[in-house]
Amino acid sequence: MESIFSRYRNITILLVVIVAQIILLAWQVKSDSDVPMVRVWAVTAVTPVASAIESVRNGTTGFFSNYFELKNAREQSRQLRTELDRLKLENQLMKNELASAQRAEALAGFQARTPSKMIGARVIGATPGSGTTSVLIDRGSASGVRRGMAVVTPDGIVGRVLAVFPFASQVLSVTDPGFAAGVESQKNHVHGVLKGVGSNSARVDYVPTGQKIENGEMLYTSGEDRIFPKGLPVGKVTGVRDAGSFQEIDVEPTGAEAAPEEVLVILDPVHESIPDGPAGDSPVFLAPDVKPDGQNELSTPVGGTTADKMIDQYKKIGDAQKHVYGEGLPGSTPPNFNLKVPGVNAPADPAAPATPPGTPNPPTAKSAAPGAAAPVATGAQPHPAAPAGTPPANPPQPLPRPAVPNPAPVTQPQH
Amino acid sequence: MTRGRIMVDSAREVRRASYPVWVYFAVPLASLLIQVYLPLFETLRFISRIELPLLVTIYFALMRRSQLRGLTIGAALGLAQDSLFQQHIGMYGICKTLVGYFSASIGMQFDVEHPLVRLILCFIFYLFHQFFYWLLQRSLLDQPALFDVRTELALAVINAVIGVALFHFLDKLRQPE
Repeated sequence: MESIFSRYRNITILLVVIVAQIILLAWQVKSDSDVPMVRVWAVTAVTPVASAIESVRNGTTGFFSNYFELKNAREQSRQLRTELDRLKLENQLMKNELASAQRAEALAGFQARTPSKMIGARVIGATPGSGTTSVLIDRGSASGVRRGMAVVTPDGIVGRVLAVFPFASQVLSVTDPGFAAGVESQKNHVHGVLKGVGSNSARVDYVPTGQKIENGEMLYTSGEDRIFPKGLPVGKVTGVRDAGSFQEIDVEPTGAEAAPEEVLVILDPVHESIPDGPAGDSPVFLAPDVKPDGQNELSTPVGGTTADKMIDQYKKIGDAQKHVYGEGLPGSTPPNFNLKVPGVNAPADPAAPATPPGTPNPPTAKSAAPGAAAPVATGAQPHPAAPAGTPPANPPQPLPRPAVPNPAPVTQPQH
Repeated sequence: MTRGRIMVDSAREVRRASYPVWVYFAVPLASLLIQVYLPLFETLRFISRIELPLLVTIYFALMRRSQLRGLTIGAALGLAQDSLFQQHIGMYGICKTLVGYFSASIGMQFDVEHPLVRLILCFIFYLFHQFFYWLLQRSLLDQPALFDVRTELALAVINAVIGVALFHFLDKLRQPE
């Protein structure tokens, strides 16, 4: 027996192992349960090593992916920085263009509402000199500039022309010690002489002690120097001191404080009135007072506005067709506004009959009577008071170089 | 290694290869890891078709030339593979137990260090393993398993080639005689 076992030992053990596994398999199938102990051993033996390998793999791949991503990120960062610098420069250029356009618009508006004849000029440089403050502008004798003419901005006076060249002029600044101009205070109309003292400031001399000038009061040109027309802003009083028989009045010039790049040269001065000072501290808004002669700022100009002329034209067209505005049922036929009425939108020829209604004949520039106001498309016409050639308020993109306004014709009588 | 001779003439020529102890643990463990871990990656899923634990069983059974050791290694690897593959414990265990026993039996009779012998043995034992596994599925578990002859023949060839290369690598771990 023992020899049989020892002789067939290997195959016996094989059969035992096979049978044991079959029984184990059968038990699992029949009971539909697992053998957790065996799985725990196998999983416990394998998973730590698998976890370690996975950690190494993850770190390695993460290192390389981070390296490549970092390299790409660095390159992208460099490109973005370059792009940012370019955009910053472009933004600054556009801001400068916008500022120039705004300045040009302000100049154009100031020129439009000022009766004096002006010409725009650009400051192209500063002339060196000991103790002098002067600038160069790009208008000279070829543009009509003459020595002694006033140079202003909407903010205030800048100086006067010191020397004229064919295509440039030298302007003595208002803060230069050699500059002088007659001024008048806004509230009490105190007269004095403005003199520059250098370092962006000026003073007013020859104001007797008894005359009242307040700190913060605005000063305007008086016109007595026959250089600056009356009514141009000069500056603000920053200090008042008694010095014997005269007062020492410090002034901060408003025209030269911002180092203007565009200025206006007054070719034909027209005096204006000094605007009234602001009302005192009032808790509510107060409209301007009525002038004694009835000439209020809000009165309509002679001949009516453009809108008034249009209303009048349409009224006459309706009268020609015996139409009464405001009557008629909804849906009734309106009057034919294309009708040519002599003296309104057609030549005032008694022999020429009015065009019967129903004949489409849109008005053209040729058929309009001289001086008659034609319907104006909104947004396309320049301001009626603006001089010809003024650039529109909203220039198309891209922003054009600020056009220097052309000189405006004299439209109002002198003061 | 004797080339040109396949049969062993006498028992004196039967030399059991010996390995360091860590080899008996590291190599099977590595085969299981590769079988379980690498197929997780999309590009390495083909490794699941390679029976590395079977090849390791065949190798150690052949080189140790001991039926007991052969069936022991086969059973251990088979049960571990069943545990990790989340199937009934005993399926791969029975198959690899038989492969280990028969491999050792053949190793006692043939010169299994010849590459051609190794190639043929790997091919035959792979087919045997896969067939027996299918048989257990159909008979014991009553599972509708399929045995595609063409696919299994192709995989048998691939596993045999890989087996020869693996055996050549594992020969480096053998302790000098």
